[in-house]
Amino acid sequence: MDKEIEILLVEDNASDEELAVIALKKHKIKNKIQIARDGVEALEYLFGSVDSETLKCVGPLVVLLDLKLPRINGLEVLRRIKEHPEAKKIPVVILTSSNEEKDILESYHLGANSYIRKPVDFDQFTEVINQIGLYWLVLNKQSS
Amino acid sequence: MKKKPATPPDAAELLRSQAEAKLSERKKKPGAPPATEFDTQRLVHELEVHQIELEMQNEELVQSHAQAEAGLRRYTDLYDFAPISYFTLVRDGTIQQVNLAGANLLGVERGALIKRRFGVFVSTRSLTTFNAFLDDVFTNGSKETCEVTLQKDGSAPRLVQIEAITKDRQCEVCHAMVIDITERKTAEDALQVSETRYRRLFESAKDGIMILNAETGIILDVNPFLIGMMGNSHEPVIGKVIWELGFFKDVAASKEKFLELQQREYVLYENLSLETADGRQIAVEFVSNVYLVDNKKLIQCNIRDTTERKQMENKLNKAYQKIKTRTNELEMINEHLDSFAYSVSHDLRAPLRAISGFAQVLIDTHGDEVNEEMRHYLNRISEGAKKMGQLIDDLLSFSRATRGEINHEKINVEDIVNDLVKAYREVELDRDIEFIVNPLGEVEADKEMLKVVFSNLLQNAVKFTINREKARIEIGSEQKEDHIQFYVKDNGIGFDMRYKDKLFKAFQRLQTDERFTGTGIGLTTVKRIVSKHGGNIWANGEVDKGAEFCFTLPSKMHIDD
Repeated sequence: MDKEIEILLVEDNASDEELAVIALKKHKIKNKIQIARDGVEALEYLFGSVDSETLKCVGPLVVLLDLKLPRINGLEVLRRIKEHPEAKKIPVVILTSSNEEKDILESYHLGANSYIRKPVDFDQFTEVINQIGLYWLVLNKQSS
Repeated sequence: MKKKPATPPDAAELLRSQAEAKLSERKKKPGAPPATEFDTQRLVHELEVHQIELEMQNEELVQSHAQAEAGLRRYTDLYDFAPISYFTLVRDGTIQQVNLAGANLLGVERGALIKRRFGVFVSTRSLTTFNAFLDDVFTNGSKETCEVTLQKDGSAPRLVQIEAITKDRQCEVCHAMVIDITERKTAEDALQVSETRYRRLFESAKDGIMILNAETGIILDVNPFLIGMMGNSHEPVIGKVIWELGFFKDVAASKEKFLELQQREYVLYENLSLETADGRQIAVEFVSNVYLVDNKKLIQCNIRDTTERKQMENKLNKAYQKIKTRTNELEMINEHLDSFAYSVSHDLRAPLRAISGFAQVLIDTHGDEVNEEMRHYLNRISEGAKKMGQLIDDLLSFSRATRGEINHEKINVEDIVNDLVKAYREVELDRDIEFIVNPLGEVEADKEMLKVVFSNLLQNAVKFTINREKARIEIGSEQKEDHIQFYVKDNGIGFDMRYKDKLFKAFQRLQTDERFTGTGIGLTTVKRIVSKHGGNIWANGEVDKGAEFCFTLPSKMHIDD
């Protein structure tokens, strides 16, 4: 039996975190949601510690990653995931306020699977969350 | 008149004894008549001797005549075929004799020249000179020289030099030699012109020039400018040896240093400091060249006062440094602005999401507890946040459009416009909008920025035609002399031309109608981009009659450093 896909939401802004969770629930996405409030927490969840080279988290996972984070920023987390021989299979969706071209280019360059800009409009926001959930959690079967 | 050849007395005696000997020989011959009477015999003897004498004399005469003939021929040849023109002129200038070269010079057959006046061939301008010259020849009795111009029919005048002399003052003829000096004179004149030119250059040059004897180091010539540069010293310079002059102590302080100038064909000291006679330090550029004149080596030195140039260079350098510092500062400020804009985009939007988001959540999750009035206010909160988000986005796009470097490339403008039009057609499905895209050609511009320009203008056109049943938006261009003019025309609500100046100012909006939402930054961004490309933008309109926005782009961009 397939283990249920987890969602790792890396978000330092509590409002955005709460809104994301509401939006996911609104669309009946009931997957387990893990919260990391900065890059360090994200890396600790994935690898056990910041410096570790071994992937600790074994189950199927989707990472929703903000870019502007305290301590270790999102691009660095992305780089660490995509450089790791096993972790690189984890889909990473960049979910950020920035629409700076250099951020978008750098994200794709590092291997981001998708780049989505957080809209101010909550309806749009929930729609985006819905699409992410639908695509990455339902349609996209991860190789185990 | 034939003259009897002069016979010396002893020669006469010798002749007579020889004649007598011949006669006695004849008498010894057999059959000669015997002398019958002494006197008769004696007379006959005398006659016979005389006859023989005459015969012998005749023989001599024939011989010397032949010799004289040969001599005359030699002389005539010498005269006639001499490569120089000879004339024998009488006191009044009549030609008495002329050789072939002379006849050739005047271009007249020799026979036809005799008894003609030489003056006939002298140009009117030279005639006075020639007559005076002839006078001098006959009065002074010495060799005289003059230069006159000969005028021949149908050919260019020739300049000749005439030298003439008479045997003595009483003599009625003079012998003249005429030499064509036209070519020599032309060459001399050219040399004179060249010399004058060189002198003018040398004398008026605004660089110091000095000519040295390359062997001895003696100064042969200096131009006035150099004298002035050295400090108007009154001590004579020409004739001195270069290392004796204090001014050049750094260039040729010693013979050893002078050797360098002498041996190297070309020496350049770019930045020498020399001391003038009045004690000023001046910066000069010193160049020396060695060259040969008449088998003698000369050194030409050019000395340029670079003091002012140096000062200017220093000033420029300082200014350059200032600009560099300022540029660095500006670059830093720009970097700060970049990170500021980044923060704005990221951090200002987050609270707005919270405001709009939670207001929406309230409506969504507590819809039954929220009454109409509360719903209205919650919607207002949500709308306000959304507007704020749009404002931030527009501000960022404005800042990005104006901050960035222009990235020039050849752009097919029609492609850009057609893409935008296609997007509008897909979005505005419920509206009847006729887009007319005329030929737009190619420009050299920043593609992303040009997209922003057309996107804003089209967005406005779409927006301000919203209450038209049938909207019409036309985009076109006109090729002008050195630029291309684009226009975007619509049949929308237009505007009052009295307020046209406000159109392109940030946050200035001409519409109060809520239907025409906007932040008032779009046209400001467009104007900035057009200006950055070196173009102009303006608008024409009338209330309720539509608007036309025109802008220009140069045909060829000048890439700045």
